[in-house]
Amino acid sequence: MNSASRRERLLAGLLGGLTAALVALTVGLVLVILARGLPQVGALLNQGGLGAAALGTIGLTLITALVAAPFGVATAIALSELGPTGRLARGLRFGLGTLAGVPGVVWGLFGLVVFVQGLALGPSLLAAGLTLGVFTLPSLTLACEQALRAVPEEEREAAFALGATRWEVITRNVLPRAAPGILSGVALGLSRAAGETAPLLLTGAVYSISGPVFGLSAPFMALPHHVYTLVTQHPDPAVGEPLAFAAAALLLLLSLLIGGLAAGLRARLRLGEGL
Amino acid sequence: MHDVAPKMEVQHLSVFYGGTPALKDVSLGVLGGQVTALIGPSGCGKSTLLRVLNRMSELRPDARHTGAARLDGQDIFAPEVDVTALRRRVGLVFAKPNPFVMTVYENVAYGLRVAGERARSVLDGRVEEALRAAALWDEVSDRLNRSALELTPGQQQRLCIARALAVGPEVLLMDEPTSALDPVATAKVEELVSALRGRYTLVIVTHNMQQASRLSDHTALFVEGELVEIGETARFFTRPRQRRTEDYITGRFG
Repeated sequence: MNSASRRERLLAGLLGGLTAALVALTVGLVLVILARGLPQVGALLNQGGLGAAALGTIGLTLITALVAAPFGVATAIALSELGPTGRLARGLRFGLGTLAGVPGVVWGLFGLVVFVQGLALGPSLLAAGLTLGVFTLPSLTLACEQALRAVPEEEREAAFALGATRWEVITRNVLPRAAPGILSGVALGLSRAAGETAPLLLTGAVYSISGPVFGLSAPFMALPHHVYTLVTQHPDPAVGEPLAFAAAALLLLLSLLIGGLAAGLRARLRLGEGL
Repeated sequence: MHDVAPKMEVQHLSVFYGGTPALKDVSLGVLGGQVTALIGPSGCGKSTLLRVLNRMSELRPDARHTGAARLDGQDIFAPEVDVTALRRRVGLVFAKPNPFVMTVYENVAYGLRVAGERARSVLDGRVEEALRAAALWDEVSDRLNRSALELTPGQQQRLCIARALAVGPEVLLMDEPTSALDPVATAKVEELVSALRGRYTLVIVTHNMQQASRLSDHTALFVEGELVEIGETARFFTRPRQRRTEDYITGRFG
């Protein structure tokens, strides 16, 4: 065996090992959380505010989707297809990249100033949802733009050569081909938003609520914030920790649900191509 | 070729990408119903000329041109010209087969649909007609609703030709249409080109000089953005008038 092929074997082994470690880590994490959390969920759903927190997170995710998905996809189409070139496009992408890297707590401050105080929404589900929406917008836009740019140029050229207008090229060729990638970008963005704590701290998340559990203009509970509070603030760790794991397990299930919905939609899209 | 008005012509056409000239002061005419071959080494401007003829060149934001291009004597760059209508009159087939990720039927119907045709019976008729004209109907009539990507590369290229024919063009531009195909598929496309001759005005860019001499009525040689020589194909290859033409067709450069 020569040294080149030995090196290749070594490299393959190394990469395989790293992949296995990563998979083990991910699966382990999921299993630990589900194993410790799931058995509690049923019992605790009506206690300790788990139900209200889950409802709050679902509400937040829906508002985030309504804000970030349409604006993000529209901006991505404008960036990728309507061809701002040179400095304008570079400036826009640089701006989005920078915004995507801004920490959640800074967005929380932004939400406090703009939505809670400026628009006088008060600490509320709506203010927090809008904050999460603008927090998600930059990264979601960049992910969707990547999906659009992955559509080969030949597809557009072939359509133009047949007398299609730019609008027809976008709606008939580019969007259908980019749809699976766009869905993945949206799902990933929403999952991340659902798990964010920092933007909620300043915009209305509370540890417990009384009275009506769910309202757009009322303070709310949310799963990630609940986990954080249970672990750091609960007077009795023996009570707080199981609750925290149950909340984490619910959050994980929600992420899986979003991912699963996106995968299901993608599969339907592929079927819809008439293949 | 001075007796008959050309179907398409360019006069003093120069094209620049950024500041770099891709075509320099080219004037030539293409006769209706005939096959004109454009040959020359890579980067000589022949594909650029093809893309000017249906204004695909405009898709590159850094492209600009000077000079005139005409279809039936009408300036194709005139402000009143609808570019989508022009592209329906002057179709383009690409070097690499590029069917849409759609069914065979939807590929051929695409141009008709964007032209506003909705009637299923009309679409059915035109799709079959175009597939027959592209000598593909017998091979795909039983799988019109299957993905176009299941076809062989040669069938895909004939599908792309059918797709271009479906909108009823007068001129068909072909940019190295067989460069990605094996010899058998190439022969079928060449047969098809011969069959289309007369009904359509064809302009073919090719790297293959045998192909140019087999298929075309006129041949034009481009080198470094300049038109070196254009003439009747038989004369062009047997008694070239320019030294550079002789050098090129005898393989001394290019």
